[in-house]
Formats: sequence, C-alpha cells, structure tokens
Amino acid sequence: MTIDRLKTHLGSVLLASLLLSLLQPTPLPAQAGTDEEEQNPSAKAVWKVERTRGEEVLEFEVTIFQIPAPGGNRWVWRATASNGTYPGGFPIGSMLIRGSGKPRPELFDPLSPAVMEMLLSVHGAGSEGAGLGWADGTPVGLRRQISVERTEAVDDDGQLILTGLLAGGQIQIRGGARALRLSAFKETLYLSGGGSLKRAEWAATLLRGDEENATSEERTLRVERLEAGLIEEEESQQVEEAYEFLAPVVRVLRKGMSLAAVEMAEKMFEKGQKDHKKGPLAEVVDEVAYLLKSSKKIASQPLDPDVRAKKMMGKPAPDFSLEGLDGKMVNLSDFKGKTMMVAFWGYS
Amino acid sequence: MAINADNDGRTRIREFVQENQLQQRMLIRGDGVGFQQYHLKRLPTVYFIDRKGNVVGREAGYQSYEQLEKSLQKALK
Repeated sequence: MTIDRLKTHLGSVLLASLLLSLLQPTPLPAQAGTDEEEQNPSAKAVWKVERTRGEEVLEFEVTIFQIPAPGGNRWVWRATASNGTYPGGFPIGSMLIRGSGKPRPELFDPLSPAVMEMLLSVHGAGSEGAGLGWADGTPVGLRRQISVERTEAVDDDGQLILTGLLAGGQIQIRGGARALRLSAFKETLYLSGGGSLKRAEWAATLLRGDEENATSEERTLRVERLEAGLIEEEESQQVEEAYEFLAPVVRVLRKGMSLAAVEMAEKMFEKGQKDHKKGPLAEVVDEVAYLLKSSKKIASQPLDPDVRAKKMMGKPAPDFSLEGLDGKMVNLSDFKGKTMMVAFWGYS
Repeated sequence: MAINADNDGRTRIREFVQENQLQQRMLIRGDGVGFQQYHLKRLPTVYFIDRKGNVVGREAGYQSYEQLEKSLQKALK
C-alpha cells in the first residue's frame, strides 16, 4: 500500500471503523448480502503502557473490550499496574464511543488519568487527519494542542512510521511564578500496512521556573499493542453482562464511603456474583469483592475522628516511621520506656 | 517530639523552629500518620504516651503551657 493510499485511508474513514481498525490487526472484509446497518463487531485488544515523569515510572497492561452499545460501541477496559495497583484506583472502567467526537468518560469519574491518556492518545492518533497537529499534549500530560512538523517513512516490512517534531521552537505553557515551558516534543507512530496503530511513543521536555534557574523534566508515554482481534459473540456477551453487573457496584463504591452506600453495593453484588465468576472479567469480580470488603471495614469506623481517637486510649500507640528535619528516619518505637509528648502541628 | 502534619516545606518548618526556639525533635510529612493512624481532627493536637507505650491522653486545639504540663504530669503517673 502506498503512503498516499494510506493517507486517504486515514483521512476518510469514519470514527467507528477507525476505532475498529485500532483494535483489529486487519480491516474487516465487507459483509455481502446484508442491507441492515452494519453493527460493529466485538473485539479485544491488549496494550502495554509505560509512562515516565521525571523519576516516576508507571507500567501497566490495559485490556480493552469493544462491545456493541446503543449509538455506537462501549469500551470496557481493565488495567493492572506492574506494582499490583490499579491505575486510577479501580479495577474496571468504561467509556461510550459515539458516532463522532472524542471518547467521553461516562461512568467512572474521574477516570484513571494514565489509562485515559493512553486511550485518548491512541484515539487521537487515528482520528486526526493529515497535516500539522496530530500531536495532542494528552500523552505527556499537557492539556493543549501542540503543533508538529511531520515526516513519514515506510520501513522494509511495509510499516508506516510517522514522526512529529515540535514546530516553531519552545512553547510557553504557563507564565508567572510557576512558569512552565515545553522545549522539546516528539511523537512517533507506527502503523501497520492496514493503517492500524501498533505502537506509539511520545516524549517531551518541560522546563520549570524562570529562564535562569529552570529545572527540566522528561516525560514519556509508550504504548504497544500486544494483541488484538475479534472475539466470539459469547465472550462479548459475557463481557457485557459482567460489566453491567459490576458498573453500578463500582459506581456506588466510588461515590460515597458511607456504610449505607457500601452495604447497598454489597447487596447488589451478592445477588449476582456467582453468575460472573467465570468468563473474561472473572478476575475483576474477585477484585471488586475484595474492594467491597475493605471499604466496609473503613466505612464501619465512626466518621468523627474524635470518636475514633477515644478508642485509642489505654491501648498501645500505633508505631510509625517518619523523616526528621535533619533527614534521619525516626520511629516512635525508638523511644520505648520514655514518656512521650507527640505534638502534631501545622504552620498556618 | 513534634510532627508537622500539614506538609509544610522544610524552609517554613525551619523558620518556625527558629522563631519559637523549639528544642524537640521535628519530624516532617506526618499527614498520613496523623490523620489515618492518629485520627486528627484539628491542628495542633498533642498525644501523651506513657512509658509502656500506651496512649494515655489527647489534647486537641491550642493549649497553654500550664495545661500541657498538667496533662504531662498525668501521663507520668
């Protein structure tokens, strides 16, 4: 496929089929003999995501299921970070993809920033047309459009590589006392012969502070598609049902930590959890069960800290380890055998 | 000991220590310990811990020197 044809392909297809092409390795063959409006098939994709911001590194794998939904598709994603946590604090998330526009985070608010960045980046990479401004600051945590000068190349395997470099030198992101400038930006997108995104990288250098003593920070986001393909209707149905079962429970957990709310979620959960112990989201069901249990423990405590503190009287003081002003670590247990006066204070 | 539970910067804490000529050991970044383990409601809050390591008193809000001494005497018993 020539570059020109690829460009036409990228610029002209509708959003829905674009999303599809991101999820699938090859374009769908046209279905012959059906007059009905073509329904998007169910698909699954697994992406590896690596984000760095200065010293901070976050790695996770996100599995995205695309299932049919009224007016478009729904993406149900689940992500697990390499350190065992969920980016965003909850094991499952979703967004509705309508006919046009950017994905709209619908159910879980706020969505995990990292997963969101990854999804929006991939989405943006496919939906913007040719020319300047494919790049969007989202992947490196800047909520603004960044104009780039783009070059394209095709490698020996027929893979299209699009490179965008910051156009027009430094950009002032923010002025004033906490000045922030973008001094370098590069995006690299790797697309297969069929036009679907396989890998992408964004890198930015940010300068903080005034010109004389600015500190610089490197930020990167790398995403790589590990697998993608259509899924059987049965699996799609299982995802849909498990999602519909889990969503209200997680929503309650997110909204409030009152004991009444947690107990309500628990009731909803107990009713149907057996039906979803198998299938593609079985692990998430287990994780939500654990989340419910620990939320209940926290919610069962009295809300008023004064009341909670009364329960501490006469009991061993909880040990802790904190850094001293001199940089040395101090434990409460270092002072065993002494009467202690521990004063918590704030400057204001 | 004194624990800063408001995430003030080191410079501000040093200023505070100098201004008030504090002698105690000063620990920083104690918001997690303070609010989760020690159930703080307002600052300052002083806890008294006896020789055995048990919590024996808690005074929330500003205390005069005399009040603090009284509570400390109780803890020393």
